[in-house]
Amino acid sequence: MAYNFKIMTNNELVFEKYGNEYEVDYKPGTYEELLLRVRTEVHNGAKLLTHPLSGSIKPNETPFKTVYLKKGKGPLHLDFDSVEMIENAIITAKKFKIRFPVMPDYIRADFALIDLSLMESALPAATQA
Amino acid sequence: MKLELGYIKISDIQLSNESKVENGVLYVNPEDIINLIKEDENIATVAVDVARPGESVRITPVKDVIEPRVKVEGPGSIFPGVIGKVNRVGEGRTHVLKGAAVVTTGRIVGFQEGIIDMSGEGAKYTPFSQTMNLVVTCEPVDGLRPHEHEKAIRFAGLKTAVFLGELGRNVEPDEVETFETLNVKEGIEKYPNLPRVAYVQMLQSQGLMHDTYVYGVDAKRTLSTIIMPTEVMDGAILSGNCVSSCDKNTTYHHLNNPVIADLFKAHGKTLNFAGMIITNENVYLADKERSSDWAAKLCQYLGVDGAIVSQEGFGNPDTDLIMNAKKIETVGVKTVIITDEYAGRDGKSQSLADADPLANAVVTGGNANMVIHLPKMDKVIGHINFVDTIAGGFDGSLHEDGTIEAELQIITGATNELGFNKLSAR
Amino acid sequence: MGKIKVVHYVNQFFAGIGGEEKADQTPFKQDGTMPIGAQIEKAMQAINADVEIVGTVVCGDSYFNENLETAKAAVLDMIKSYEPDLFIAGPAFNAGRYGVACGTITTEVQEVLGIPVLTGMYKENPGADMYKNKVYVVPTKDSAAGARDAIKKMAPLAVKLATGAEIEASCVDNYMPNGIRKNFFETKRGSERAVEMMIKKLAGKEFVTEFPMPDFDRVDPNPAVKDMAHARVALVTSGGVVPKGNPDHIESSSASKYGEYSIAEFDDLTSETHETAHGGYDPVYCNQDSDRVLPVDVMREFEKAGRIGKLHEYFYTTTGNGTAVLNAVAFAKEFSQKLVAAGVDAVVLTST
Repeated sequence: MAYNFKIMTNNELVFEKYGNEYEVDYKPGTYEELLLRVRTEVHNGAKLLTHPLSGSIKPNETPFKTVYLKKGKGPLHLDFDSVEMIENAIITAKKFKIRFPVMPDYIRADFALIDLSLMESALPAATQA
Repeated sequence: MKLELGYIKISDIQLSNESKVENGVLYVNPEDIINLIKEDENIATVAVDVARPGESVRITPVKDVIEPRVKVEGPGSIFPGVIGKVNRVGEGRTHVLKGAAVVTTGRIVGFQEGIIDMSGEGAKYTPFSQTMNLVVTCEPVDGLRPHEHEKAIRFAGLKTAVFLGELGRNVEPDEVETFETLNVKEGIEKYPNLPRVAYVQMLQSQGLMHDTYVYGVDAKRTLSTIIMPTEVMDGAILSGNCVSSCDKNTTYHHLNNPVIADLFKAHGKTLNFAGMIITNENVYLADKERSSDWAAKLCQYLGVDGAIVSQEGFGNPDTDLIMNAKKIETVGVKTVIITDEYAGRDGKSQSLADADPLANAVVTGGNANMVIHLPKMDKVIGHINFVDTIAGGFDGSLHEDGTIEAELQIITGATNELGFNKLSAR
Repeated sequence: MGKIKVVHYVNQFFAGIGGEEKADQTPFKQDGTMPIGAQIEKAMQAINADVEIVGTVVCGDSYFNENLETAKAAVLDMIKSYEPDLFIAGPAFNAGRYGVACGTITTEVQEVLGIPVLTGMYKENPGADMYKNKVYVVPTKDSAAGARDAIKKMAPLAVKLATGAEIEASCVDNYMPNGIRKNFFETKRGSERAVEMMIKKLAGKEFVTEFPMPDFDRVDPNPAVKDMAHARVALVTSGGVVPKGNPDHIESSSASKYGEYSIAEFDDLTSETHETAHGGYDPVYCNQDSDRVLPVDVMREFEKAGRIGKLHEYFYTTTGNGTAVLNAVAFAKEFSQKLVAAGVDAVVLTST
């Protein structure tokens, strides 16, 4: 079945687990790069379905972020709430200095798992919408 | 609905060969605790320690803090739907081991967080430097997944607190305080001239390590609803939230919710504490819209004049907070909101991730990015090597000499958004 | 440390020279204090500070504001001649030009001489908004009748500044919030403060939020232009696009002016003809092709296709980078009149 949402992530775990089932736009990169990719989608008319700062783990701690978007109809159909929210998220993310440029694998794996869990908490709502 | 809280003042905790409460001292036989927790086959080892105010002790990473309570009269038991049966609580009489707390620690994921220092600079910022703490450190069996591990430790803490609370069942309290919530009609009749105020509590509800439970139900799967403040005192709300230690609400905070306490203090004098609404903080934006719509609708339906809204956690809950404030104001109910700030180390950054001019009455728990210096402690309970990887710490924050340079957000409960502390910012 | 040397700045009125009629007084200095300075000195000494106001610098408000650069330089030299450890200006209460002068000169002294500075004024003095984020400004009453109260607040902060003591939160040390959030311990816990704030709010009494929401200067959009095909459309930008060479020297940040330039001759902006003066973003892409910030090329296409009536001959530009809101508002007020006078129906405003 075709859904009208897509998932943008830099978390490979999300891609591995859900890439076959849903449209998962996975690209490795930093937390901030992911937010910028999301912003580009928003500028092209996509609407945010989940909060880009989901979770209480700070943007300078977790390297992973997954965001749900409703596909847009092009830049002439901007969702201004989404524009504002993603901008605020980027401002918030930027004020934290990245703490762990190099992170032990076991901690990376834990962050990936938490991000997956946050992402999964929105899945029922997204698929029912 | 009427509840009496009987406070048994605990001045010390002693490890002993018999568990009991006597002359204000809580004696704990560690074997009792170890056997109790090891009923769960997911837990491999348990260590029991005591940390007292003023001692050179650091506890980290802190998962939860819980106050021992026991239901001595009235229906239900503490932590209904989780430890106790799902029966409704909030009536009758409950005994509290006041001044004592159970602190759980243990590595669930690699970056676990939360520090309680019992003395020194850090002690100023956490309320749990002032409680007698029974610290329970649990290690899981190999290969236990984080979801199960979190649950195992959550239950270890709750069971320990219930076990200790039970020791106070037949002890005569030093002080008894009574709390009563009238129904809407009675309240209006009794206090016709006082403004009616509701409390809207936002609960963290986003996924693994970000959850809160209400009568055992995961809050992310709830709609905003009405709860009795006295139910909360009996453990109807408990924490499964292990992140953002400075502004998460531990179970201790829920049991001792200061907004409830201070609204009760003003009740019948300057206002009529008309009721309490709980609403969640989900990841999904439509959920946020729905939950805040419902919170505002319930305020409107209760016909209150004002609502105090408290937040939990960092980042996206700012959006829930602002939605709540905006919508509640829009239905003609005046709001005061309680939050904390992430204004950067220099205090110059935008404090909140969202804002609205209608949110014109804000109480803040302070800037969580403020840098603090913690001295070395003689004894560390838990896992100090995780300090570098807990929120607010940063690379190199744990110095060779055992001192720590970190942001305030490293400290458990430091910028609490229920307004538990005196810390603020301007 | 030895005796703390302070220089004080006052206007013609507080120097006892006269009111508005003497506002063109040129700068001069005088050893020791003027009467209000003497009170400040006394208040500082009363908090056990070994402090002396060694000199007072005086300047008329009109002279200062109308001869800004020369006055600033002259005043600064006079202050410097005393080699002070601390500089205090005012308090200016609600005197607008005095407040601006106090803000300007304290900011200058702080930057150039690198010593602590302090001023005071009424919260609605225009100098307050302009300078409270740059220097410590103590809020005062709106007239000199509040001098006693002003001095009571300024003296302890002045001593703290002079001795290098840590400055605490604005509500503790009595200065206007300056955009830097500082932690401190209240006497009551947060929940109790919330309940008290609620009671005040419900009673319609004044209450002070602990965190003012960012200032939202929201402007309601005008009704849609019905007939775009015949509308005259202008371009305005805060992206700093200027003719090559930046003929009017618009500042790369904190702009003090805007530019008005003709685009009548242009169908397309190129790296030969235009560039950006903006210092707050990577200028490479705008310098390569300024249409990216000021879309003249697309507007010409729209014009040719009949989707708009006409592209207005002039565009207005400044750099939005750190530019004071008051300045920005003043620019817009001025060029908006020109746009209206020229019969412009709509403006495309681009930012960066």
